[in-house]
Amino acid sequence: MEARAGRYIAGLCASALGLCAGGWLVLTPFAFGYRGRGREAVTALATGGGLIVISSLMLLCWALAWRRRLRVDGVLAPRRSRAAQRKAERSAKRQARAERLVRVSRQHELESAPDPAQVLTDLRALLTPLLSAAEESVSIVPAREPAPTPAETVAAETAPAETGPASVEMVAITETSRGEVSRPEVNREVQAPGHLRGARSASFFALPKQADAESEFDAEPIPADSLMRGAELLMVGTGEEESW
Amino acid sequence: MVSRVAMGGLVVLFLAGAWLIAAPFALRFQHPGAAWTGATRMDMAVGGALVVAAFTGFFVALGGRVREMYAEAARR
Repeated sequence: MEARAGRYIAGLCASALGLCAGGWLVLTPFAFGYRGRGREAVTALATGGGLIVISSLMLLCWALAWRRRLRVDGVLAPRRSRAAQRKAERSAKRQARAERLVRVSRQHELESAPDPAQVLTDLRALLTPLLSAAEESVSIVPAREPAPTPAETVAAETAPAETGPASVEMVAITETSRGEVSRPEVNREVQAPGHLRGARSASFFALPKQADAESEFDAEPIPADSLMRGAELLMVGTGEEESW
Repeated sequence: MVSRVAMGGLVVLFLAGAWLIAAPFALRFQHPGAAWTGATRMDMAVGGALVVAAFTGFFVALGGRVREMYAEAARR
């Protein structure tokens, strides 16, 4: 380091000496009373002036060279232009903003993301009763016997040994909770999961006749039954019965 | 570039010193064989100082540069 500095110091000293010498040469004609416009005076003034210019230029060059060397060695901070400084400030701001955003989004993720093990446990707790309910829902519902119509009554009277054509024999497959399939039973129907138990679809064909029969003889309306029948008709019309 | 200009400045300084030494005889305001006038003594002194300073400065700077080049070569 000192050897490097010695080089620049030597150059700077020589330049400073040249500057001093030039100044002295400029002053000598006036100091020693040379003859005006004589060769001695002109020589001294011209050489002095030239030395001043050259020495000043040398001083500047040596100073710049030394400064550059100091920057390269890391003694001085690297030089930055204003544009580069603004650019660096802008990029630093952008970097800080991006880091802030990443930090905030990570916090949200940590807050909102649940534990996967907990999610699996909750799902298991939610689905287990549904599965058991689905198994239990495949149950046997006894089918109602349709009400005998007057024609059937007459037919039954005439042929008591035969089975009536309007009687519905529904074959059902009973599935137990163990998964065993029992023998089909007569007059039983399978009710699908979600099917409301009761006289809805199966009684749909029988009840109106009964109601009609009653309406023929009784003038008084039955509002609840008629409402139910209307709802059933509406559901059949909209195709919900098929989905059952 | 800057170093080269500075080194060139030292050479110019040396030449300026040499010129100051030779100027009284070249311009004939110092007659040969006659006693040196005040102006001649002054030019000789200033010129000699400049020559010595420029010569020393040039070779010191040159030696420093050569040492830097050796150091850079050793780093590689």
